[in-house]
Amino acid sequence: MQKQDKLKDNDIILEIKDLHTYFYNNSKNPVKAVEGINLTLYKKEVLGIVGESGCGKSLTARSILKILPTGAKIAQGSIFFNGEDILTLKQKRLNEIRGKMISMIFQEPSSYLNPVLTVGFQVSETYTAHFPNDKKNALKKTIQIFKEVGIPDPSKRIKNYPHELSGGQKQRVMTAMALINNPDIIIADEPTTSLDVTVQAQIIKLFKDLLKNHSSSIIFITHDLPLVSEIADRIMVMYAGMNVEEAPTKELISKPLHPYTKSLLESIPPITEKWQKLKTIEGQVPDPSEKPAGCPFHPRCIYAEKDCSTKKPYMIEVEKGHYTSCYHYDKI
Amino acid sequence: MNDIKNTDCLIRTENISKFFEQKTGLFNSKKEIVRAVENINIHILKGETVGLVGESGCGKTTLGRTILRLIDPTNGNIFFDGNNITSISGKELRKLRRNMQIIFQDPYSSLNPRFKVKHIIAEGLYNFKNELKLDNISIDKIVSEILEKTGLSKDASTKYPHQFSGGQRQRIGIGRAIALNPKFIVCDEPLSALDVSIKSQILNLLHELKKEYKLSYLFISHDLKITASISDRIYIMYLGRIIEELPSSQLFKNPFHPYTKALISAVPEIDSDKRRKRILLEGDVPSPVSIPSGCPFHPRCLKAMEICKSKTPKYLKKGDNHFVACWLYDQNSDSRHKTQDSSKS
Repeated sequence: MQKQDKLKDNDIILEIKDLHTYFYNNSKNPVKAVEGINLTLYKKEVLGIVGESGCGKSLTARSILKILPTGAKIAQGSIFFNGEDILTLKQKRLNEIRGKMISMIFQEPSSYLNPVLTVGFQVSETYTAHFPNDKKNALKKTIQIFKEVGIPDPSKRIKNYPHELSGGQKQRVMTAMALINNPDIIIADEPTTSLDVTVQAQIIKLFKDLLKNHSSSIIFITHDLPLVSEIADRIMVMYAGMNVEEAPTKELISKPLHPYTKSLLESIPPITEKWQKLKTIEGQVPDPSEKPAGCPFHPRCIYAEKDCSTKKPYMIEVEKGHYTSCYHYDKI
Repeated sequence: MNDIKNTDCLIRTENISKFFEQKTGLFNSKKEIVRAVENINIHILKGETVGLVGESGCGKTTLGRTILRLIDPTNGNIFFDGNNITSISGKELRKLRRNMQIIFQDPYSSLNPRFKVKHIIAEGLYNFKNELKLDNISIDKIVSEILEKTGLSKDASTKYPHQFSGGQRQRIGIGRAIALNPKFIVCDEPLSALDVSIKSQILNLLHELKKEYKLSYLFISHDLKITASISDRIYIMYLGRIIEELPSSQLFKNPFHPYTKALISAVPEIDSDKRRKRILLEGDVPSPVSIPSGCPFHPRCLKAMEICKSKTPKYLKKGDNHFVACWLYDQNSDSRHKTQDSSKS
């Protein structure tokens, strides 16, 4: 799926420039959860965003649709979707984009489905909200999309309530909801985290199949580097609200240029005959309200030098399409 | 399992089952039986780490808690160090509790938010103060020793759980489990709530403590790679039954049961050369209220035969410490078709 060579500027569908999203809860100083994210998404591309909890990956995704949790605000930056800056759009236009051109699949399907409405109604609602004059076709469309996401016996299933479906089926319903309007971008926020491995494999297969028939781009957010490496064309690694590395999947895995990415790759337990002490990243993920100065990773980094604790790093393009925010990448 | 001496076993279960009753229907008028765990025979040797793997809802936590006598089994016997502990109570059970501990999955809900760390770790010690002849000074000494061993700083003892991150809280939970110097610990998904970079830290810690305290673990997890890396032997569970048992070195090399194979094929692999061909299972795990007849896996099995639908497969030995319950491996292959009576297991 490598199409790096073909990527051109006019194939860009989404561009985030210097995005800052902060939490303005009770204290005077905002919690800088997302701090200067730059991101480019091309047409028909799968971009993986990898990071640990609290690194700001979900918040970045939610900023794209402006569906932020209470207290969070976009402090700075711009998000260009097809040339329009989402952050300056009026509510009406924003509603047109949400669910029709950009849709989202959430981590926990059970908490995003309404328990008192049938799943068929909830999926068709996404369609009728954007095509209010086409209610006749909504049912037909819903059944068709259910079939596409692999829900058996769709004409019966649409009458089911969420509690009657298993976790995997619910995630398929969420996927159907995201797909029904054939959006340009699908944001999948940890879509398989709450599922079992065998079901996770089914959902990944479903995503791969959908990519063949739809022209959507996907932003796939996860903490699971091996998982995303199976589906993404490019991967962006985040740490403490910042982008630390970005590269085509194969390159990122074979030649990581940031110590954090490297440690993440090394902490995956290898398949060995006997117990082997695992390589670890010492220390803890920093609290977003008390981020270390300079490079946020320097207290845990084995390559850290003096300047890492003072100079704030920025993304450098080391090879074509391969960016890192580490000054000392040549030592890795 | 006949070649294993009783004296080497720390834990042995004999056909244990646990059924729950569940009321459903309008005004709870109907009763359903949830067969969470059925006829399970497992053993854990002294100093051994045994993995227990399966999808959510397959009964792994119920089995772990039943062995600890936190839940009473419906049928069967549990032996600890050669003694039958299935129906002991009172003083005897209290004595046993000292030797068996549990580390919970969620480090957020398993620590009392109103207790200081010192208190959390020492709670068991206070409980057994008289038996162990401890005074407050010696308890403090043990606590600071444990803090050091679990990698927490000394001043942690006067803090509250909310002041710690997830990984550190799991260290507190581990500290609490080892405080009484137990022989056996059930680790119930101790890593699944933790971040990727923290998981390996905790896994290393568990392994170090095991060596130091000569512990035996039952390591419950749904993550095959992590389980394989820490365990000596692994049980694979499906719908309340053990379907395969194998040394962990064999798990990725030589699995037998179609379910084990499917589980392994579903593990994401970062190295594209090492990627296994996916065996995609249809559907989800059935509900333990209505377990399919015969082999419980047959409705999802790609290799299911006629016999699988009606008869429960026997648990057969297929190598060193390698057992499997699947008709495909029943060498007496004629029996697949004609036997009527050989399938009692």
